[in-house]
Amino acid sequence: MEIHKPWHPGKETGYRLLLTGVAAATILLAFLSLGVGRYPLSLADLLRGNLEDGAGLRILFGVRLPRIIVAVVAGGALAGVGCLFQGIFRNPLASPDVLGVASGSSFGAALAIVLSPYLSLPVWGLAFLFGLLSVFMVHLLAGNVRGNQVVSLLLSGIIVSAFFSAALSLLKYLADPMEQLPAIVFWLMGGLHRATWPQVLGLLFIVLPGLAALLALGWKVNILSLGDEEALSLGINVKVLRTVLIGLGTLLVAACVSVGGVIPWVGLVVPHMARLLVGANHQRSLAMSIVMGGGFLLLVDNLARTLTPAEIPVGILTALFGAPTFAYLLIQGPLTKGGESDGFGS
Amino acid sequence: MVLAAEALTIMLGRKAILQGVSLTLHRGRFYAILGPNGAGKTTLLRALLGFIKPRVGQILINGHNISRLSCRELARHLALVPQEHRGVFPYTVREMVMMGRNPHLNGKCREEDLLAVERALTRVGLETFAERNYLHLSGGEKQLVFIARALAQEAAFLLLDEPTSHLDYRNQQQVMSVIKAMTRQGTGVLAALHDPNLALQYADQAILLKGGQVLAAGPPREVLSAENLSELYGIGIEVSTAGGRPFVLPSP
Repeated sequence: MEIHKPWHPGKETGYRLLLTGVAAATILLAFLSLGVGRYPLSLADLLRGNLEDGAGLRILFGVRLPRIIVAVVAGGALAGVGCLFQGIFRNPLASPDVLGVASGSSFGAALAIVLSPYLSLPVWGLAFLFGLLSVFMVHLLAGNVRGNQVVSLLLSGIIVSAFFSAALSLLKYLADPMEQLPAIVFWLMGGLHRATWPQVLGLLFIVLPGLAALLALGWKVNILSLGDEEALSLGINVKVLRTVLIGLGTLLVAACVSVGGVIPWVGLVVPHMARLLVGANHQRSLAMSIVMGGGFLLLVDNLARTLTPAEIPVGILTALFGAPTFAYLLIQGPLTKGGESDGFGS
Repeated sequence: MVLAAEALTIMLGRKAILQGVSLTLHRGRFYAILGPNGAGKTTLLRALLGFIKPRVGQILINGHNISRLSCRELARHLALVPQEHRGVFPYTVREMVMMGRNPHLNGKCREEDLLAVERALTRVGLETFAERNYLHLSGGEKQLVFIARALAQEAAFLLLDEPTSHLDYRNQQQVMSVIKAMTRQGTGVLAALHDPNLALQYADQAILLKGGQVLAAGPPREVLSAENLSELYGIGIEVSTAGGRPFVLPSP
C-alpha cells in the first residue's frame, strides 16, 4: 500500500514553501522597516554605517528596532490566538478579545492613568493584570453554569466585558479632562511607539514560548473543534485542554495589549486569510496565522508612522484595513461555506 | 474484552432517565438498542462513554471501572459515531480519519498510524475522497467518514447513535453492512436504532428499552415479537415473514 505523508500528499511541500515564503517576506519587511520613519535615516545610510554621531544609533536601537520587534511579535501572537480561539470556540467570528481580555486591560490601563497623581503604577502592568483577571472571572462564571461550556464561556465573556466597559466609562468620566482623559483615549487606540526595551524583552519572554506551546498543541485544537463529546470520545481531556489553551491565549493577548494597547481586527481577519492559503488543519493554520499576523501588523505600523506627519494610532489603521478585508471574505464565502453546507446534502 | 453496565441509574434533575439497567457486551457481536424517543437510548450510550456519571451502578471494561480510566485509555476501548455532527472547519477526509489515531499518538505520528488511516479509508471505500472537504460530502459519505475514523481508532467497542437516521435506503444498507463487517473483524458494536427491520437484519442481540428500563433482551428473532414491539412503541405491530426472513410492519 502506498503511504501518504501527513496530511496532504504532494501538498506538504507546497505548504512548507508558502510558509517559508511568507516568513521570508516578513523578515525582509522588518529589515526594510529599519529605514522607515520621520527621522532622516534611510536604509542606505544604515548600510553605509552613516549614523551621524550617535543620534542615528539612538533612533535605530531606541525607537525603530523595538517597535519593529513589537509589531511582528504582537501581530503574530494576536493572529495566532485568534486562530486558536476560533478553533476552540467552534466559531469563525471569535477574536482574541472574545473572553474580555481587552476590556479588562483597558480598564487596568485607565485605572493606572487616573490614579497617577496619587500612586505611580505602571500602565502596562495594570493593563496586564486586569486582562488576566477579566478572563479568570469569565472562567469562574462559566464554571458555575451547567450545560454547553462553549456557549457559557462566550456569554460570560460578554458579561465580564460589559462590566469592565462600564467601569472604564466611569473612569473616563472621573478623569481629569485636560491630561488624563486624552491619555486614556490614546492608549485605547493602540500604538506601538510606547514600547521600551524592558517591555520588548518581557513580551518576547512571554510570547515566544507561548507560541511554541500553541503550535505543539495544534493537532489537539483540531479535535477540540469537533465539539466536546466527540473530542472526549477521541481521548481528549476536554476540560483540562480547553483551560490550558484559554490560559495560554489570554497570557499572550494580555501581554500584547499591555504593551501595544488595543489593536483590533488582526486576530479576527488574519486567521481567515491563513486558512484560505493552507486549509483548516490547525497544525498549519496556526503557524500561517502567526507568520502572516506578524507581517500584517508590521506593514500597517509602517503606514501608521509615515502616512501623515503626526502618527496615526495603529488600532485605527488595522480596523480600516480589517473591516473591508472581512467584508471581502464574507462575500467570497470562506466564512459561510464551512459548516452550513449540510442539511441539503446527498 | 467485556463491556458491562451494572444496575445503572441515571438522574436528570429529579427524573430518572435510566433505572437499574444492566447489560454485558462482548467483542465481535452486534447489539441493537430499540425504544421510543425518550426511552433513554442516547443516555445509555453517553453513560457508557463516560460523558455522564451514573447516580447508582457502574460501568466496567474488563472489570475496570471506567471512571478510573483516563480519557485516552477509554478512547482506546470505546469509539463513537455521533448522531449529529455540526462541523465548522473544512478538514479533509484524511484529517478527520487521522483524528481517530489520537489515543494512540505519542507526540509524533508514526508510519503505523498513517497505515491505519489508509486501511480505514479503504475499508469504507473512501480512499479516493481522502483530500476532499468532509463538510461537502453527502450524509451517507459523512457517516462513512465517522466509521472510518472509528476504524482508525482501533477500539474494542464501537457505539453508534442512530447511525442511519439521516440516510436514504441505499446508504442505510451500505452503512449497516460496513458496521456488520466490523463485528466480523472482532469489534463489539452497540447501536441505537429506530428501525426494527434493521435490527432483525443485522443485529446478533436486541435490547428493548422503555421508560429507562430494559423491557426485553436477546436474539432479535425471539425478542422482536409482535407482542414486545407493540408494548414497546404503544401501537399495533405485526411480524411477518418473507423468504424465511422476518419483517416488522404496523397493523393496518
